[in-house]
Amino acid sequence: MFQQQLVNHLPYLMALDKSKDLESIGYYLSEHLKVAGGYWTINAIACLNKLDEISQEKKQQLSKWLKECQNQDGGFGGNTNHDSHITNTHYAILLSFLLNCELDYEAAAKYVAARQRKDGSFEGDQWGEVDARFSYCGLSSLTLLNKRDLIDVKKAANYIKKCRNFDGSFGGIPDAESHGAYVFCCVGTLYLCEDLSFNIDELSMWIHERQTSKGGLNGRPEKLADVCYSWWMYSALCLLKREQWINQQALENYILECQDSDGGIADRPNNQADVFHTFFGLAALSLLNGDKYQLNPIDPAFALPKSILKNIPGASRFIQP
Amino acid sequence: MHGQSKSRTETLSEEEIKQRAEKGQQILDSLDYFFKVRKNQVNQPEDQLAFSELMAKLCPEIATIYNYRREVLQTKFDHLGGLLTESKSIDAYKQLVKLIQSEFMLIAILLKQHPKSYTLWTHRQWMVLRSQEIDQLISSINQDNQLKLIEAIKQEYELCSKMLDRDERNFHVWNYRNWLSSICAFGREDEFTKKKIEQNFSNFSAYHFRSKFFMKNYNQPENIIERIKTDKILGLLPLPFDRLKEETELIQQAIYIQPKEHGVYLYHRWLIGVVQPFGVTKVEKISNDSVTLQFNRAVTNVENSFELFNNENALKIINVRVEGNNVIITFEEQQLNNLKVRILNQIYKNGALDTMISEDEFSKFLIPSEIDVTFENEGFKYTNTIQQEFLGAIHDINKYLDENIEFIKQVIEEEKENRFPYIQILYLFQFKLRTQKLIDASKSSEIVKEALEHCDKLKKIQNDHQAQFLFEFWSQF
Repeated sequence: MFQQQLVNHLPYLMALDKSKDLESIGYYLSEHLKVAGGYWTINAIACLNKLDEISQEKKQQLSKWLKECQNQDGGFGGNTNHDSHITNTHYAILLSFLLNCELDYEAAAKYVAARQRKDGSFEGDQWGEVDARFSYCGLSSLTLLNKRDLIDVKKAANYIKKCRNFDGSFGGIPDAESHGAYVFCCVGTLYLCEDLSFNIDELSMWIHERQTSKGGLNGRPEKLADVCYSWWMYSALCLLKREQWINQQALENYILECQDSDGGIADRPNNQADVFHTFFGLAALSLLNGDKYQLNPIDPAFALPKSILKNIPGASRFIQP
Repeated sequence: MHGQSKSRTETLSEEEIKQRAEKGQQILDSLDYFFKVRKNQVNQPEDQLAFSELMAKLCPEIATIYNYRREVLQTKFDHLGGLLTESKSIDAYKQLVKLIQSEFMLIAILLKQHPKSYTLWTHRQWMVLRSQEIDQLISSINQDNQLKLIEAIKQEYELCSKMLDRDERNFHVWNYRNWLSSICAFGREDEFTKKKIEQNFSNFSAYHFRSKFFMKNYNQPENIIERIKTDKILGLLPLPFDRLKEETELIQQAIYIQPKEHGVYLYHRWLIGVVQPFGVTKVEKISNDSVTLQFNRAVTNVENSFELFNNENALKIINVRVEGNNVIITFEEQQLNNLKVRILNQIYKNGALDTMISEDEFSKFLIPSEIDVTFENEGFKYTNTIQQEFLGAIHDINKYLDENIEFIKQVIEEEKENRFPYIQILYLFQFKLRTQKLIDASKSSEIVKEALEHCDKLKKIQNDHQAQFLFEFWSQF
């Protein structure tokens, strides 16, 4: 099993905005994912400790574009002109810290806080979709912006606890099936709400049982392993101080096997890389064995490099040492 | 993004690259125009619905397109609704029905290509809610309502069935279907989940929703009060006992047929766990104003479950607090000579809808007991006597548990290299240990011994992390 120098993924990442990826129609259909894509790309580069490879000019260009994604209601769309949504608002805030540019945080915080409903849940936008992803975006954004007082933190936690299932794990809404990605959203939210009063051992056992024979984690029983779950669930184990409950070496090996020889990391071995899986693969490796790979550790609660988080006052009491 | 095989990456000819670039540019130009329309920077197209339908088909994942479409639809709904209210216009009514039907059709077409799109499911949900409102409006005007929301919802269930036939684990569909039952329940959850399980024993999504159905259908306080009338103490179980046994046979069969699947063990584990009794296993600590009781699992809703006496005089309880498996009861400070604690199952005793609940299983199978504490020089001694009436039920559940332990032992015999049944038996031993602590803690060591033996066997067949972990877990006893 070969082991690339992870920094070899840098050219893949740097090239992402240059190429319009003419061979893939998918590029044009993902116009609405530009803010998210920016976050995954820049964060991956930061994880490789190569933020300064991006020219000042480029950073300014990106910052200018990012600011234009903010709408009148304070929220951000996935690209300029797109309607606001809590997920894109959250991505924009994260990206702004990576780029070291300032947005109208006051307005953004108001938009995010307005998404909380009476039962503590968060909606994605005014059209009413509710989901634990949005609770996480809400708690993370407002914690980073030091605006937690704008929401009811206790109610937010209570809603998430309703998402817990008999198997000890969490789904996206009450009654939904337990799912690895929602483990991240729910544990992350509860951690930021400072309320981890649920059966942690049961959840950790469920996560433990997600590890497949090849070392990768799947999201639910009988499903295929996927590199992104390495992040979603291993980061949760870190927050719960149960990192030893999975075979860390096997997980590490699996992520390395998912590398694409042309650069980047794919969802599973021998598949095509994409920026989403590249970021989450690198982020998980930074937690599993950051020193060995010379990676900038990504904080498990905020999914930002710790080096950047230490300059954000709102985050300080939540940062894992 | 997911599942893109590398070997399938096409190498395109120059002509094909050019075509794709053109198509791509077309999309960008269309989006450009769409946003100008959205911001009223150009005139609205004559047919806004047709225009947004085109955009949706071009870029099905862009939420803003649906936001715009919903704004247009809402305007039309409001306008037509107004006409209907004012003049009972048949034409307005017909237009409303057509609008709704074609929207559902459009979303269904798009869902075929994008069955996991949050955007599309959210839009469909929004349409159901609007249909509900419009249906109410029509009914208030005309008793002979032909919109027939119920028929429409039935169609939605049909859609869910078809989509689950194509992908039985699509959680968007399962969630949507679950949500529909809050609008209009047809009470077929039992049938439907059973059908999906019989189609494929490793459909964990079906087991998951089946467990939810059981809890909603059988474990509400009103259900329990009814069951107690005929089944006495076993009525407290979250599932009627014969239903439980029926269901256990079903899952045992599934395990027998597909012992290498994971989900079947999870459901088996849940079924057995959900009916286990819970109660006080230890008096942890006593002070002159508090007593700490340890339960065999975490509990909730504890406030009304205790009575305290000192020298036969009732003590006033000031506060009851839960900390993990412990419950801390504080009372007015005094010299304790002869403390008596009664743990009550209020639902069984008084038919009160409230009682202590075992936190994770939501079970109300709390075993009432009486604790008698005497004080000595340095500490205290106590006896914990389970209410006689309950012993029979505990025995029945224990027998059921033992039968399942035997069953898993048989699976182990057949499946010597399969770690799942080993892990399963260790879970079942955990249940057994909890109940043993309730009845007679002194006999617990035998269970721990047998569990450790199985840990050893697990390590031998697969010396992986889980084996080591379970071994350490059981060693702590």
